[in-house]
Amino acid sequence: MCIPPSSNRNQQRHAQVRPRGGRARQNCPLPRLVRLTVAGATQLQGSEYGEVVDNDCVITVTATTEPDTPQVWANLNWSLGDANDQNNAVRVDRLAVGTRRLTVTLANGQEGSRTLHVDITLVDLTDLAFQLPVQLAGTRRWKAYESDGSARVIATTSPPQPNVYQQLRWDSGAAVMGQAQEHDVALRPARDAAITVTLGNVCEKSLVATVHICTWPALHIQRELFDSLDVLNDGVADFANLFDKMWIEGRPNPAVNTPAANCQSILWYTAGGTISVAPRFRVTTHPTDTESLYVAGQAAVGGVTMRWVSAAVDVAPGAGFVTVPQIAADMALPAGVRCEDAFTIDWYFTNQDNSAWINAGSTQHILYVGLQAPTENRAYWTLLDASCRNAVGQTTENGFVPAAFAALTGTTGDGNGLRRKGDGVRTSYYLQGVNTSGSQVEPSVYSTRGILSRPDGTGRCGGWADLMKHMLRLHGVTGYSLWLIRGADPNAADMTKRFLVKNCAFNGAGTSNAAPYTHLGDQTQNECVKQAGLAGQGKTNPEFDFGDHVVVWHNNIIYDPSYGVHGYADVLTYENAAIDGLGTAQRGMYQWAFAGTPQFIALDTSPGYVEHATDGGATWGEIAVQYGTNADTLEQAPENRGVLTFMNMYPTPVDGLVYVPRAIASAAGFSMLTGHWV
Amino acid sequence: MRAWTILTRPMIAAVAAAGLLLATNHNAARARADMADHLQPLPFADAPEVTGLRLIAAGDAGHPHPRLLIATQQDQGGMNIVAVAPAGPPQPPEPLAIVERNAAWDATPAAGGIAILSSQAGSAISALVWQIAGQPGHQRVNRRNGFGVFGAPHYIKGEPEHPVPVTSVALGGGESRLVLFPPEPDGGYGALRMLEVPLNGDLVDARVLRWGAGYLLVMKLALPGPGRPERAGPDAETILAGRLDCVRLNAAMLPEGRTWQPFPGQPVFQFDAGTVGDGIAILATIGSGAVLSAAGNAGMRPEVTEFRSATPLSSPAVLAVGQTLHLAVLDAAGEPDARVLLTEVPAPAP
Repeated sequence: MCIPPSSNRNQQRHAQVRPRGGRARQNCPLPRLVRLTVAGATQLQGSEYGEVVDNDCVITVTATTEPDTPQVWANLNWSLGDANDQNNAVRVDRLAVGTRRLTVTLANGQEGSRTLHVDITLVDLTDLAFQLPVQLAGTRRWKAYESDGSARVIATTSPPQPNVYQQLRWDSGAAVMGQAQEHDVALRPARDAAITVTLGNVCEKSLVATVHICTWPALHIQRELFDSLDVLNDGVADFANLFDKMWIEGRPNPAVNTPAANCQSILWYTAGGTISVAPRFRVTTHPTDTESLYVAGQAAVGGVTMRWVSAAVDVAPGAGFVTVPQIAADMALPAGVRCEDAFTIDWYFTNQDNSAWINAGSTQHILYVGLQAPTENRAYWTLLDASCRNAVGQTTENGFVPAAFAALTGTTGDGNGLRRKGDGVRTSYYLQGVNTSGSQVEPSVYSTRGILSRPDGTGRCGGWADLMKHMLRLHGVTGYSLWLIRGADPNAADMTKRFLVKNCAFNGAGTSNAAPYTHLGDQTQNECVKQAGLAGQGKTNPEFDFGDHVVVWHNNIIYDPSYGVHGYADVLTYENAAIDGLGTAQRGMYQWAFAGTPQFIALDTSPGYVEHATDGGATWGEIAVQYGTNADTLEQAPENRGVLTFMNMYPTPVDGLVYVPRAIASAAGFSMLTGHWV
Repeated sequence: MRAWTILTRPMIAAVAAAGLLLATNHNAARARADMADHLQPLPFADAPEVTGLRLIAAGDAGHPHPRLLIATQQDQGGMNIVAVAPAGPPQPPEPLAIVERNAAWDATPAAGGIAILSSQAGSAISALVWQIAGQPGHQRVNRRNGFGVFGAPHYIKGEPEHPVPVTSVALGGGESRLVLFPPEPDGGYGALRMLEVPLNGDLVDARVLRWGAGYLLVMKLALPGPGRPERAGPDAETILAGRLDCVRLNAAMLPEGRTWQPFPGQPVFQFDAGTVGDGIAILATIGSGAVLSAAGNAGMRPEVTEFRSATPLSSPAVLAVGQTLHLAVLDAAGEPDARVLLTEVPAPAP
């Protein structure tokens, strides 16, 4: 038996005393400090332990001695911590980050085993954060949008050292090579993705971060409402029905026999004007949250690129459509008339960070751009199309009018009439010859409306002049006049006085007794013989014998829309180009069919003459000299067979009218047609 | 919705004899019976050529009697207007005038005969002229307005003596307006006056009738919208279906009160109207025949009677003489079996 070592000197001394009367008592070997056992921390290596700071948890270090008895433990001295009652263990707090060395010394321990230590390193997991721009309310919540990428989340430790990072444990996500403190969270599908990182093993510490992965909305253009001027359809079935100024997804393009209400709208603007549009989008991908974005359209006209960019627009999760208030284009339409058959607007919306535009579909329109502000507040499609298509690029009235009139120059003759856009019916001039309607009420042959809505599409000259007027007014052209032509009878209501539009052949001197008329109109008499033409709109042989006619003047040029001719600077030039003679229906009209078309012609006709009023004071010679001829020629002209002459020294026609044959008058610059401005 | 009475067999037989089926609402049983008894075809040899009918009151003011004016299209030349007695022994038609082919026309009693009003279609313009039947020459109604397109000419019905003011639908500026040509002391007509009346659509035809101290205006306005009905008239001209609007005009021909529709929701093609004191009778052709609206006074709910016909009816004419309404209508115009049909019914009691 040995004497256990004492911690007190007396005891130690006593221990060396040999016991009386017996064998000397053997001293016990000196106690040894065998080891330290650490609980509440993780052994890193050797005597190094690590753990995460924690207010509630402690590290317990227990010493094992040999002998492992309270007497020995009583000699243990701990460098830190709170020793237990038996003094063989201490509790070390986990409050602060850092490395602390805990040393325990056995006061009377054997040499070499008196002291042991452990190094306790406390670390902390202080934060976990996504590298995302938008942090939401609440604890560690961020917002991201669904994509093929990922969001990076970073843990912050104290100390921020790789060896600490290595201790982090992640419950999800993907590790980032070489960056143990980072993880990536996939951003698809949309969800609330929570990721937890943990540090420590005993009373471990975990932090959770959540990324609210949202779906960004997707839009597709579904409707547009424009501030276009009013365009009306034409044709029989859908006449005067308004195109609704809208493009609606799925509707067909405007076409023949398609009601205006059932197709995409025609658009009509004025050069220099601004196109405004209120787009509506179909939400093709619904957002997770209400999102705010921008929409924009872009189109090009005549080399000008115009854009429509909206203010911020909210898209709610349940919204089926997004309607955007009217947006004005940033650029005005360029100068000049335009006809755009495929005016295309490409629509976009912004992505989640407004860094890019995403395609939202395109719309296509028929766009007409007029010369200037119209004085006709509604346009019929056919006339808008015809005038714009033929006058593309024109910027002035004087350039526009002849260019637009070209729409009516290639449309004469059978089967060639200007085709109505609404129903494809070809318009015409006196399609049924003299049996052509005389309807004064709509659908009238005297009006634009009538020509564009009558089943036969035909009109009289009043209708065609009205149509040309309408066409000009669509482009703000008002500097025109109408000139009402009457055959030698400007004011009277006498419709028996006629004129004959080309082509008529006058054979011989004629045998008519109705001076100043010379030739019989009876076609069996072969005196004034109708020839083919002059072709009118859509009709090779329209009525050619008239009591009145009307043409349009603009910029000192005569336009005759009925016949599609123009370019005449004065009445005489027009007359020579268009008129073959005059006639009178006093004895009636001769009716027959020419090339299958009912016609009539005055029974008495003439190649034409100019009326010269005399009061009896002028001789034949004095009158003749005014027309560049002589007395005999004038007096003996067949036109003057009915004029009485005072047979005196200087033969003088009696008061009244003297008739100057057309050939003479025309050569002298006199025209036989009379008329007045209306 | 109108509730139509199914005809009794005797009634069907009577109506069928005239080639018509007739139906009426419950409130118009008396009118139905009378019409069925009296609808008779007029013996008229040129019936297939007839393009228009008018009924005017002839005779002196104390003993008026109806005369039926018939326009027939001639192969060559113009349109012949003749007068016949709608009742009594058949007599040869009395030639009145030849007007322009396919002219729109009207007639009214005048001192010395019958005044005929007609359109004269030029190429650029369309004038209105008038003449006294049997007298040479004619005068221009629009002599003060030379350039214009004037259609649907009508004398104001019920004016005591000629010259009777003329109304017309004038085209211009892309729209149709109702104009009045007032008589002038020289017996001709003065410059037109635009009548400011409520036009709730495109004016196609209008009739003005003396009515009490003022006038009654009945207008036909073209129906808007796609698929509006139309038909070819007796002259092959397109006749658009329209809506009839009525409005009272005061002595100055200014509108008074609200506009009303004698045939609500019923598209009509042609119409004529007559007044009997405060009463109104309007006869209109429709897709299925013709309808008559008759009321004894302005406040009375009109009796509406429908004539059904398998063939198109056109050119309706109505005239009130005393307390009798004389009605005429053209059946199957332009066809070989065309007929002029006549009837008379008691005017509704005031």
